[in-house]
Amino acid sequence: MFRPVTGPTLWLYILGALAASGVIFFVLQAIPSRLRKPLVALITFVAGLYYATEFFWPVGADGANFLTPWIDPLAQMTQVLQAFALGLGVYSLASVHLRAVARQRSGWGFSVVLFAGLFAIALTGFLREYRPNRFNENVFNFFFVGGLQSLDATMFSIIAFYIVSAAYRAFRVRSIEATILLTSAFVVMLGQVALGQALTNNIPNQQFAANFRVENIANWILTRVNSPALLAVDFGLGIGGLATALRLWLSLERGSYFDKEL
Amino acid sequence: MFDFLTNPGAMRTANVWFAALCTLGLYSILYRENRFFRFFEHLFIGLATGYAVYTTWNDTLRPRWWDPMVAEGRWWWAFALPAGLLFYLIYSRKYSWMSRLIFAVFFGFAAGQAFQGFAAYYFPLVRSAINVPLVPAAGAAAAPGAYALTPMAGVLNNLLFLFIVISVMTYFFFSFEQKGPVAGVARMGRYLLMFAFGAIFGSTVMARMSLLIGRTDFLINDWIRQTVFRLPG
Repeated sequence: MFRPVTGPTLWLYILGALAASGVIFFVLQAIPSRLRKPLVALITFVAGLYYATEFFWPVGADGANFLTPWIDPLAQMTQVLQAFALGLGVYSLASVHLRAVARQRSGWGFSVVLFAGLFAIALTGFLREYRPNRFNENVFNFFFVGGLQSLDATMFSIIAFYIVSAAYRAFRVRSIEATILLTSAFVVMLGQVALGQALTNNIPNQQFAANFRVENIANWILTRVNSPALLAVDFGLGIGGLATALRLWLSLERGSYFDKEL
Repeated sequence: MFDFLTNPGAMRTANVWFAALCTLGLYSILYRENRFFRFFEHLFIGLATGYAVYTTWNDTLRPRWWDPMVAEGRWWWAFALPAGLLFYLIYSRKYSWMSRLIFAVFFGFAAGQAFQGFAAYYFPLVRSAINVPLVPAAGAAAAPGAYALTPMAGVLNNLLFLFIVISVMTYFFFSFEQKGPVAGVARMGRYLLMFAFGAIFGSTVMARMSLLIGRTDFLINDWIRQTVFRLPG
């Protein structure tokens, strides 16, 4: 639709696009309050209409219709806009911790540590990209490999301790469901550790007897019981998701966010 | 002064010491809430956020937005900047309604993609679930010593597969009151769900345990043995 431009003219075009966006901004601001909700509903519908039409429109011999070529550019635009949204989270985090530092609330020093970590890895990351040398690479790796990766793995491994406590509480619930759940969990765990496998190591891994080896039972539970049960749950999720998508697309969804006056 | 920063051996030692301190710092919560833990907890959040900022620019915005716009002259990508900035109007009392416009675009896209996603993901799933062979294949003799592969075992497993799918779906069917045999199938569905949840629970425990073993191995071998006592690995 548009043609690429090079040289100094490019910046004029970019400034022109930004100026046009500014004009659109002021036009939008001039829209009366009563028309704002219908406008939001219209934009939701049109945005959804593209993918819905692309899906339902008959395709040619190449498996594509007139809308198909726009899928990739649209996906690229979505990724770019989503990337801009990251700042919302950073802003929210920064505002909470900047306030803590400014008012010197209890534990404000930890907020300083948070900012130090944030700037350290972001700056060294950018330096590594734009000024690649061994020094910048090593400093980035210090924060990434030494810091972030080890903190990440440790934080998730801590859950192991809390899972044990959760299992203990679950053991105390005496019902058929809890018994089935724990028996299944116990067999699956036993089948994945050497100690558990050693228990039935004397049973030959051939013929009918192989079905009594703990690792085979665990594998059978995972593939023959777990898979279909989760498949059924997945079907339910899919149908529910489709219904929710339809409500969103047609702006039928209700709630504090959707009912608020604009 | 900072020569060690270009020395691979020295940097490895620094990385291991830093990683060990981070690991011990987070594990200190297992004793009780303490300042050492809070320090590393905040450092973790800061590092994770900073890394997200770095990768968002480096992996998404630069190759997909900045470079096409500036290096390839596709000036129309400039419209993405004000569109992306619409998100931030949510913090403005006067203009916050405009942030709805960009959220509306995403709601619409997500809703439209749900049709495509449903067809692309769930149709093959339904097909794979109902298209399981229930009759033994003629002449498909079992290989010696491979009981699990015999046709009859496969048929029984497929029947079980279908039964589990149907009974679990029945359990989630709330459009009418479940009575008689339907209630029985639904109850069986609940028990089978517990079986599945137990399997997931067991797998999750094992995954977390393997992470724990990994960190313990790092502390004992990489840090204490090889870095503190300089013993061979």
